[in-house]
Amino acid sequence: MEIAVIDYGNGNLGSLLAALRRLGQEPNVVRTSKDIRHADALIFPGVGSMNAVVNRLKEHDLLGWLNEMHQARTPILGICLGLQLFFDESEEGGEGLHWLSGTASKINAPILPHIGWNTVDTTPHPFLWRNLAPPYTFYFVHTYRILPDDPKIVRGFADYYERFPAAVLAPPLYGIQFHPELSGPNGTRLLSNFLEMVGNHDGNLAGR
Amino acid sequence: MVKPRIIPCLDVKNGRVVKGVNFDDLKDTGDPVQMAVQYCEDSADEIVWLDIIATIEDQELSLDLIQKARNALSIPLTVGGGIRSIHHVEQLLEHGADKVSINTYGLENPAILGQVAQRWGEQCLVVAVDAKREGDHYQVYSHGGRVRTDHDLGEWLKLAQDLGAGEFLLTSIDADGTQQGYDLPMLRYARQTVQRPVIASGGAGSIDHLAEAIQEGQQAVLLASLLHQKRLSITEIKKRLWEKGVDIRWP
Repeated sequence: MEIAVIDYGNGNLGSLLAALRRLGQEPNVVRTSKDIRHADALIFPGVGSMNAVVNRLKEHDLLGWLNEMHQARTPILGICLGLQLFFDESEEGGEGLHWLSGTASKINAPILPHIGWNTVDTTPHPFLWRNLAPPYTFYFVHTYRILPDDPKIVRGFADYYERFPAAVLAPPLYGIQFHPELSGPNGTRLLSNFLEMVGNHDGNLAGR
Repeated sequence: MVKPRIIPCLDVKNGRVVKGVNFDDLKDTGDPVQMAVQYCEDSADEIVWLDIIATIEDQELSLDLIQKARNALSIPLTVGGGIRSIHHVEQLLEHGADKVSINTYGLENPAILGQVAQRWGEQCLVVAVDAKREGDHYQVYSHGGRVRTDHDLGEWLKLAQDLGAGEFLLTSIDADGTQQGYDLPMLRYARQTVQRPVIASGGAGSIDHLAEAIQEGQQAVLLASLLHQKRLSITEIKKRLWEKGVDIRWP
């Protein structure tokens, strides 16, 4: 199985790559179109700010390929900023990929970023939560949160001064606001669930 | 709501963990990679790794150890100590640090704080501050607490926040290593001054000290001596905090 990790930031991907390697993967880091090779799934990590990400993807000649992969229904996991990129735009000024309709805006909270472990209330059946030990506590670090137009795609909420969407399932798009690579055993299981879904032909498991 | 973070701190010198009292009198307490992994398994919420770097060789050894720790850790790793350039920050992040902690160099060259925040995001930048009570206010010290700066604590915290600090790691020089409790008035002052998470550091000697800081609103507490001397495990600490009504995270 080939996993591509998109590097649209400045190479701060160490924990995600280490987590994938611990799960037996040798991810292909894609920074420019020269790095593209066959991929069964893509992972958009969560680094930096949304501003200018799409421009960087254009400059590195990746935008067309990403749209093709999305249209071909390749499973794509967005983590933190990666999840926010699925949507139209961010309040801070950046444009998203317009794959899902909605925006990202600042959490209403007196202390930001929201940094630390928080519990996610999940709705039943999403495969991402299989075999996890409750309570589903994950590590968050973010200032913005998504506001999807379609509430039905939200499959988990977290609470930090306000309730906000923490997980989105809209196959082939899977998005989580928290960082599984930094979230101990539950985070590892979640990543492993995603990989297993990718391995199980075309992401069909996700629809269950 | 976000759970209070219990963060072990490893002070690393020549590839070994050391810990002193009032910033002096360092004692060897173990191998940093092994200790970081043990703390992770023992339900630590994050690891802070502060290098005491004197030479180029120290720096290379440190990068190698950080990469080893990263490969094994499934929780966030903040690395600091001796950062003197953007290139050094780049190397630390490439070797698997999730955040960098900058202290003295940020005071000497505040522009680096903005550069790090712009390039990697504010969430990547922890500004470490060592401060000491002087009469009616707190004064910021640099160089591991040895050099008095011209900065008042509140003024520096606000400036660093404006430059892009995502988080503060605030150590009380008066309380550090004494195990007599965190400097609660200083922490309260910092929390009221900035709108960023503050990690409390210096002085934890008992579970009551952690509980009182958290119950006052501290989002994160740093531990060193309490753990390294193997008086208490993080699991024991968390269990007793839970019994006191603190909503900690179980792995």
